[in-house]
Amino acid sequence: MIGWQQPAALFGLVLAAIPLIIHLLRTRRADRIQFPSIRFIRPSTTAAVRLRSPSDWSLLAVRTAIVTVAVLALARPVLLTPGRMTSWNAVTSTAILVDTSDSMRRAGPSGRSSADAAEEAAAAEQLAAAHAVRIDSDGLSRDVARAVAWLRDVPPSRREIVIVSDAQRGAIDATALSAVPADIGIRFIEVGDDVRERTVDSFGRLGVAGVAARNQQVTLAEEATRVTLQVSGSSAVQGLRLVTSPGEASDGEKLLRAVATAGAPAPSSEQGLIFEFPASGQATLVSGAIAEPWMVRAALRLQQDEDFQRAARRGEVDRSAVDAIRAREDAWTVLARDRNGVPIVNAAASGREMVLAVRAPVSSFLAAATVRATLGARQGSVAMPEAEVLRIPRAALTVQSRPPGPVEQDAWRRAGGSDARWLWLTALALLLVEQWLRSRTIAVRDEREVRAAA
Amino acid sequence: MLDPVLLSSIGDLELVARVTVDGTISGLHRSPFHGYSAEFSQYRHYRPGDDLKYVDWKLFARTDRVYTKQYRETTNLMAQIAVDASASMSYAGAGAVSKLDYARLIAAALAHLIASQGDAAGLVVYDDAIRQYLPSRVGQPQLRALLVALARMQASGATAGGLALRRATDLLKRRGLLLVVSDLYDEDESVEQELRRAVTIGHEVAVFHVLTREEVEFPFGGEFEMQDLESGRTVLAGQASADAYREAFGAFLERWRTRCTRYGIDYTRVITDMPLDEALRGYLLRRIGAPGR
Repeated sequence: MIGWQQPAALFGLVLAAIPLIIHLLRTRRADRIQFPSIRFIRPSTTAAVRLRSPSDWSLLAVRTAIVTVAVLALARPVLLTPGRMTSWNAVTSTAILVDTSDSMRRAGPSGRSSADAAEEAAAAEQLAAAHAVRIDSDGLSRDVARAVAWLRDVPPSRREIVIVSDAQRGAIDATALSAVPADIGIRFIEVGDDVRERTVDSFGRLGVAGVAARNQQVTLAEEATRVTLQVSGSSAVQGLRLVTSPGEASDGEKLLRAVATAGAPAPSSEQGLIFEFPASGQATLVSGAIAEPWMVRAALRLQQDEDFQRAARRGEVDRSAVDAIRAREDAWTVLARDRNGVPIVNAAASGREMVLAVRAPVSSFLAAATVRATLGARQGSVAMPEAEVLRIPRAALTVQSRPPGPVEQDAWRRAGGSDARWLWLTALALLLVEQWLRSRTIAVRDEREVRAAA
Repeated sequence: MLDPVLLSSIGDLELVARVTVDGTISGLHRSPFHGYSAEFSQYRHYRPGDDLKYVDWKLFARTDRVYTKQYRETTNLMAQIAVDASASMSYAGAGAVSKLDYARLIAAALAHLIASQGDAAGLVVYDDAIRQYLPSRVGQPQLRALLVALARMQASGATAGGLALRRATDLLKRRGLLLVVSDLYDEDESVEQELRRAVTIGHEVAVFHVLTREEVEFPFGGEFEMQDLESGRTVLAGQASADAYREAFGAFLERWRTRCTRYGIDYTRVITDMPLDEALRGYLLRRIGAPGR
């Protein structure tokens, strides 16, 4: 069987008629002779142009063959021999889908994260495959389609998708896998330790004098889920500090109470926040720009927080106040601007703490909005599905798994090369034959003319 | 034997004319061109080629020296050479000499011959109009001018010699000699009429009908597209056309020969592969034999 990568070129086969037409036309017009006067010549009744049979059939055949072979070569043929099909079936192209969701980063009882195991497994698969691509995915169901798209264009070979994941329940659904073409194999490599129980803080609420702090924990133990809510009395706030002038201390307390009453997330002693107000007259020792991942995440969330940005645009920078930002302008990251486009909330790092310089009074709405939004941005949202301890049952994975099918019959469409080179070589050889035939014809004609002249 | 191919390859037309004349008139005992006498003028030494009728035999008997008598009007022959330079004259056939080249050689030889006899020669070159005109005069400068004009002659246009021949005839003030060198492919009868008129007036007229071997024999077999050199028209010729051509062309040649004989015109058919002296000798011999005027 022959496959044609450029089948449209086969229409060019009509060009094979050109040598025949040239052979027929070239010799059929009568030679023109100039003569002093044609008045004595009686016109011949035969046609001036007449079809004549080609003078050299072998030359015609060779020329037709050259055109035919050239056209076939342009159509880029691929010969599907049993040997070629066997060689294609001997290699495998693999799309390695590596799960990079949050659950993969959790360390198991062995102290090793699932991501580490996934790295090793993916590297081994890449080595084993003839053609391989690694796709890092935090949404396996979504990215199965990417793997299929890549496999659609790989050179002829058996094709499979290898999914390296902790197989946490909900990581991938059967619908996404059912869309994979039947000849593409599916294989799962489970990584990570089995975990029987996991407790995560689902949320914590800021507590200040007069407003109790609350903390909720969720414990996942196989099929069971246990929720614990702890309410603690007023205590010193850990991980949150306001730098204000002595005269504004009471305003600072009011600010924290208002924020706590509104249900702001609790701060963390490990991820400290310092809110600095210009009227304080003090300048926190800034060590540099924000660099810790949690600081960067918090800054990005703040920049995208519409409520916070709207509050900033309603405010106006207090230019009369002492401005701590001027000390090291290069260290500050602008988080929000006022109605005039002047930076009004900026962030920098002070050791392991994040400093937020608010160029508005402590008693302002913007000050409260900044504290609340920053607490929320630091904590982010807890993705409870990523805390799941249950895995997709092995039986279910086995049902979805299948070996790669044999190379399909139209796999030649994906072949990088074609067998056109052999046809070009044939055309070249035929050209040489044509040259030889032509020179022989001329030699014979010359000899005949010499004999006739003699 | 003067090979026209060799002669046409020589650039110097004066030399060619002299060689041709010397090769042609050697052996002729009388000068082919000479005016008729009126009044004795003087004696001069006999030169080979002088007409023996002018030798003073009595003086020869007395002195043992040969003198010829010269008369006052010994150079009163006026000749006009009319050369057809139409496009059809550019045809050379299989040979290297075109009809125009051959006509050039004939005209140059005749002009040289006439001038060397001390007679007056003029030239008219024409196709469908008069392209060159030199009135009849004597002397070497005239001969040179005439040879230059012949050398510059180019073939072009159709053949329409009637008007040119009428003008050439009219410019011969007294009875003279009109020499026509052409392939006579004129479409109408005007050439024939003008030649007859020239004879009627009293001029001596000679026609050199220049042709190639191919025009006479039509050696083309098979099928050919023949293109007319003058009109550019084409016609497809087959084997049957060749036979018909030979028949029609033979009739054409015979018609011209008959006409010329009837009107007392000297008619010489020359084929371009003929030696030039052979082409001229027949005419010159007939002229010597002709009664003097």
